[in-house]
Amino acid sequence: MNPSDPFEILRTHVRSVTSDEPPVIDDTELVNAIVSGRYTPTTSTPDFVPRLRPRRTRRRIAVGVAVAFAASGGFAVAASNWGEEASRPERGASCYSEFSLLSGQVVLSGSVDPLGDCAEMWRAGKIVVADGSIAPGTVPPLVACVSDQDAVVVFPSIDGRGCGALGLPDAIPSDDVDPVAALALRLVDEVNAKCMSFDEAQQETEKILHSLRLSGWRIVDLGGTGACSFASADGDVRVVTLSLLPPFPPVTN
Amino acid sequence: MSADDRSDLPLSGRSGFDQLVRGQRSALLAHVRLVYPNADAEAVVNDTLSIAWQRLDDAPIDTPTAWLRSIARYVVLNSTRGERRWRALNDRVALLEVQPFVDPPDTDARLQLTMVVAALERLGSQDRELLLMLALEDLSTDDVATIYDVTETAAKVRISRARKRLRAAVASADVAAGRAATTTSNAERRRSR
Repeated sequence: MNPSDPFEILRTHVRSVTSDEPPVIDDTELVNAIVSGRYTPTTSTPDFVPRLRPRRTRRRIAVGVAVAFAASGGFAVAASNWGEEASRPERGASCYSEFSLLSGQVVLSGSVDPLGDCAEMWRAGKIVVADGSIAPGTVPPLVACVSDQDAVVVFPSIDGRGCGALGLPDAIPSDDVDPVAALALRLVDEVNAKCMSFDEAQQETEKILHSLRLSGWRIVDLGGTGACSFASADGDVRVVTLSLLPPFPPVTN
Repeated sequence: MSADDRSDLPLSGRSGFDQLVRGQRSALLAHVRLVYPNADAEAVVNDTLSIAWQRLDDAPIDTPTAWLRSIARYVVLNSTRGERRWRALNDRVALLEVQPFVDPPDTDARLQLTMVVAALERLGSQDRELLLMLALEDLSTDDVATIYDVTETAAKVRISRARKRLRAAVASADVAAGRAATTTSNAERRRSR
């Protein structure tokens, strides 16, 4: 390693690669939604924000779902009592009430079947469209998309429109589409999750590369002092790096 | 990208808010995407701005950048508390995924970058968060103090320690890589005999 300051290397790199992809919703639309009160936070309002006076209004919705009302011809998402976690719903999947990222949504925590779970919310009448375009208790055609950073978001599909109309990718397995993405996922599941030694991780990585027909890849040992190998893939230079890290702490509630 | 936007924003009423959104949203989005790779960046930014609207009267006119980042940080921490458990494994991978490698001119530069990113992953989450936000924007010590709600002195110490730990982590990986290279070289020599 040359004497360059690692932070300067990081700074140069970060500034050259950070995404400047514009947001899906434009500024005007967002400002209008917020100012008119149509925007409902998808995450909870923080209990504490530094250097600010107390909030003027505090959401008192003791439910685990987000409730939103459109200003005109709007919709309502019926609330259900999910107990004390209400003001801070955990995000596992989000079931939107309209084909729009600005519509009301029900946030499900830890859902492993977002489409099925959202269908159940519609069926149970937990999501109701006030203009009657979808009868209460009916399940509209649903489409599951992936939001920024892999959150699954489920919308009622209008006229067969899919995720692309919202600028989002479909929430479908993408192994066949992008082998590098498949590699990254498999490294997480088959190496990182199993606390392997370096040799085991190297063998497993070679197997995965072979099974995905990825050739010309190198496995680079980055060392480390832990007991568990952590693998990560870089498709641009076709390198899988292996580092030895301490095992993850046991999961606790 | 610079955080040096200390112009006096008329932070009042709808026009002030409109100006705040147009002036800050893109940079805030880039900040959240980089520093909190597993957060739903757009949702976090939109929520942050929604909170900012509710509290526009409280907004510090001279430091909207740090103020918005402090709100965004709490939005992220609040919203990810529950999902942290089951996304723990992906946290580290996501960090790399949002920082795809550009093409440095030579192999050494690539390796350096690989080592720096890997070292960054080995740091604690607070060091990583701080270093990434400093790497992206020219935040002052006072900005960092505002974001973390600490004194300026404490902010200086945090920055200094984080950079020191990054250097140490890279140095440690460098030594390990040197060992690995030596081992490989010895093995090749043995094979060639």
